[in-house]
Amino acid sequence: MAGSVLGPNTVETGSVSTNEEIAAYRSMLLIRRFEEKAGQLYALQAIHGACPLCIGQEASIVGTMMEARETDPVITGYRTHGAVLARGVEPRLVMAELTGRKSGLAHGKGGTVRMFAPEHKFFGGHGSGGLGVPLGAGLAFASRYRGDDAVTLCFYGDGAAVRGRVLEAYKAAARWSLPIVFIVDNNTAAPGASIVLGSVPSALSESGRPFAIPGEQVDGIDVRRVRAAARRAIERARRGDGPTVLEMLTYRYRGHGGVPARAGANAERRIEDADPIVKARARLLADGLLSERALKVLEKEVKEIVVAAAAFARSEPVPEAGDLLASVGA
Amino acid sequence: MRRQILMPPMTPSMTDGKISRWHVSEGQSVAAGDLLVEVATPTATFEIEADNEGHVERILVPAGTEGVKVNTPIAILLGVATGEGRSPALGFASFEPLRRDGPRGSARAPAARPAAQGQTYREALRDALAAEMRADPSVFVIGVDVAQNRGAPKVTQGLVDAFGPERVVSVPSLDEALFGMAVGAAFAGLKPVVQLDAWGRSLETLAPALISAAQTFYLSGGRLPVPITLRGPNGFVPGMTGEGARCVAAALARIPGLKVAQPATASAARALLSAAIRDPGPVAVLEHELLYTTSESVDPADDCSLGVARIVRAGADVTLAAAGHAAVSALMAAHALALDGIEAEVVDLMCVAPLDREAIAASVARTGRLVTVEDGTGDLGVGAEIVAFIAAEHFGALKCAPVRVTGARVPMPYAAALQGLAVPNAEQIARVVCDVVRGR
Repeated sequence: MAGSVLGPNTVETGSVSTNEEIAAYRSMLLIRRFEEKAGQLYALQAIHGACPLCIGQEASIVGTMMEARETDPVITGYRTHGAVLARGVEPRLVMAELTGRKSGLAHGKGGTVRMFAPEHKFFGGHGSGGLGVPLGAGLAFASRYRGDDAVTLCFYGDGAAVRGRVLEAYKAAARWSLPIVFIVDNNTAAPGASIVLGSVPSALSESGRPFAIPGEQVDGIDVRRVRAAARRAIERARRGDGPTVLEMLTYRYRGHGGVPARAGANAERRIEDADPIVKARARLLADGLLSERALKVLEKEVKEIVVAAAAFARSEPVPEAGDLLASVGA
Repeated sequence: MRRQILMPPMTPSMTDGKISRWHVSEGQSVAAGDLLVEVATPTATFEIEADNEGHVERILVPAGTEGVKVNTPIAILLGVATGEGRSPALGFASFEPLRRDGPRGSARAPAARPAAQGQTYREALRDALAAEMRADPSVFVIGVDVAQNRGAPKVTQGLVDAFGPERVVSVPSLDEALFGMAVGAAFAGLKPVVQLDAWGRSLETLAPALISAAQTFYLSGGRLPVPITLRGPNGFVPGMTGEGARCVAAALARIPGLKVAQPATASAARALLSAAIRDPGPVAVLEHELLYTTSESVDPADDCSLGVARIVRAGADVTLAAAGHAAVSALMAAHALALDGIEAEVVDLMCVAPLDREAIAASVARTGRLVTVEDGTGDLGVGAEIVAFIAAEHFGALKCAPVRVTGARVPMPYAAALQGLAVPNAEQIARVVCDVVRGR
């Protein structure tokens, strides 16, 4: 295995312009810094409950979203922060939701999982082991019903991927040839799973085969490869040829709520091998796309956004008693 | 004694059948237990026996006739009592249409509109679906076999011809993902109407998507409404056991964000289903197997707001509060009680969530006595909520302790004798009400 979780290395990277490379790096870095800050606030108990972070999975999110149109619906499991940021929702609204403030995205009602931004075609955060997958099939069903050409991006984890409702959703997607891309982040660290790298079978890309849904295993660490795979799957769906399963081989190295997901002698080396942001930065430098100085400017700018988001999230007022019973029913 | 043999409703959902053969001919004598006629429906064949001695005077519908409507006279017998007794256990074959009178009902003045045709509960539901589908292209129906019209409640009959398979989406089974898919379609702004074969059987599979539909508007901070309607028969079905005959009204009513409608009559079915489909949030419509064939005059223009009760019978002595099938039982009890000089006011709740507390309180203010009726288990149920509310907020209006008449706290048993004890019927209700009013 040579210390790699990256799977096949022969995948096409596709053509990526300089500006897109830089945008991808910036977008991934924003998610990384945001999640690091959320982890800090969680440790300080400014965020309570759970706080599932997506550190290590930024390329899978950003690479697929780069191929999506603004009109393409996105839906996720409970790991929402990265996807909602990549959709263009203001970081301070997301952070203020995490701290339970009235000005948060869901006015302090939803927290980490229940992020919804229908104006950005972001249909949330869903818990309960893969429930977002049949819901995502419904978003795609609506596109087919209306005859629009939107393609739904549906994210979930390896833990959810083998739930019955997910396989049933594959069946429905196949039956109506729904315009949807199933994106399984195989971070090999489902909650409660024994955290031994490689203990989860990496055949999730094949999980749609009984329903004749093609799948692809993708190096989820390389944003260019993610993007190329997403392009194939999205184009296929937009043509009306139906769903695809993309298994993103990723390596999330912060656990639920920021606790380390990994332990053991190899953990640190694996992190170095599998950090999509470290890799993207090195590539920008090596290819001469950005200087070290320009990178520092970009990184400072991203950091300032996150610092401002955290300050906003800690200073905004909490909901009032009168908010409790507001919007129970539509 | 000369008697007509009527085309029997062999199942609660049966509307018509075929006379496949006569075992007797005109003038023939029959003994109790002799086979008279064979009746076929698309799903089963039944034989009707004579239950008394006599002879066949006339055969009115010859063998081979199809589409013979339930309750059509098919033969005349002399001195023979026939199998008419096989009407559904609670006796709704002869169900008297509900009148709408009293303060809330009369405010809508339905009499001012031209009289509408009598219609069955099933037809009223179908017409509501068709009207809403015509009015809004984002409304679609999904359910088991809804296109072929063989879905158990047969409510969607004919819709596929009018709206096509894209809007009348037939599926072989409703698994968890299809429920989820319907909810996801509602996220995207469509208005799915999901037809369930039976609420009691579907609830476990449905629960995750239903909870998601109910809570998403709130948890999204009011950003994402989920306009979905789920409808199908709920509660008691003769011969069905356990979850197949369970009433889920109280269980659903406790889910925040979900509205729960329970139509008791054809006109309520029409108005409530239309209101459910137009509602921006999720609505569960709990129909009842024994009500599909009941009929009433239905005014298509008669609409209603979810959570507004109707006074279906005015009375000064006692308030009976109930929804759905239990409201029909309560009304039948009220008619029987009137013969005894007790005038019961029957409040058809229409919805158990939101519950029209004010309508109940106003009625109790008039009568001073409260009896609640529900088919489901009583513990922590609809009646418990109503009694708690009246006791807490309108204690002074009560002349005596309120009483709940409820289903037994058992999984629905099989034997007809036990089923009759598990769900309140008009006679039991009347007895309880009598005791309440007479102070026993």
